[in-house]
Amino acid sequence: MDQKKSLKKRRLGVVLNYIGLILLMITYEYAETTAWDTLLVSLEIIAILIILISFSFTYWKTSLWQFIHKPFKELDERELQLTGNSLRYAYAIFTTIALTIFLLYSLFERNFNIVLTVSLIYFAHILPASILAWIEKEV
Amino acid sequence: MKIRKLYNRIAILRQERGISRKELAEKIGVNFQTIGYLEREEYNPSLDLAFRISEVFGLPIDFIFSTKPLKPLSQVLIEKF
Repeated sequence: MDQKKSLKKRRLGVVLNYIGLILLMITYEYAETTAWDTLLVSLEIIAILIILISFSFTYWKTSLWQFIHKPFKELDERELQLTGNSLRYAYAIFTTIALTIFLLYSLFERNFNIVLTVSLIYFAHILPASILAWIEKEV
Repeated sequence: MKIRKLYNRIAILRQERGISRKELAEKIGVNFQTIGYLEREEYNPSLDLAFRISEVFGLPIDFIFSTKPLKPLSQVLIEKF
């Protein structure tokens, strides 16, 4: 795992990535209830750009993304422990957040949309790497 | 279960033998960053890894690892002779 970025910068990247994701979901949800206009389209584009840029700097260039998707046989015992822990936390966090979203949607009688579905899949996929980016010290 | 901290002499032994972290990592089959974690005592190795480290240095395992803070090597020598 190549972690050239400081912990502070990585954490900022994680926060920005999630801000982008939340902005994307909220803007889409709002636009669907009202109507699409230039401002909302611009906000969606900005959100996508935030997600892409922060993903590139936080997960791709630091190799965290590649690390979390490595086959087990390529990891040493500390890395196995690290990925195991991050997957365990990710499972708990994802279940809680997904259940909360499902409950809120059912409570407010809203239909799931494609952006929410894609965002949740992305969230599930990115979460273990986010946890590593958040807790792993610099080497 | 609360895991006890393991103290070790990996850093001093590695420097004494003039081996880089990367070289030691290759010899024991781990990522070089894991050597950093071991030297800073932020990661407790498995028994298998501890044996591999002791084999590389040619020293008994209890000379390299301990559950109590390790004395400096100079003090160990003075006490021995």
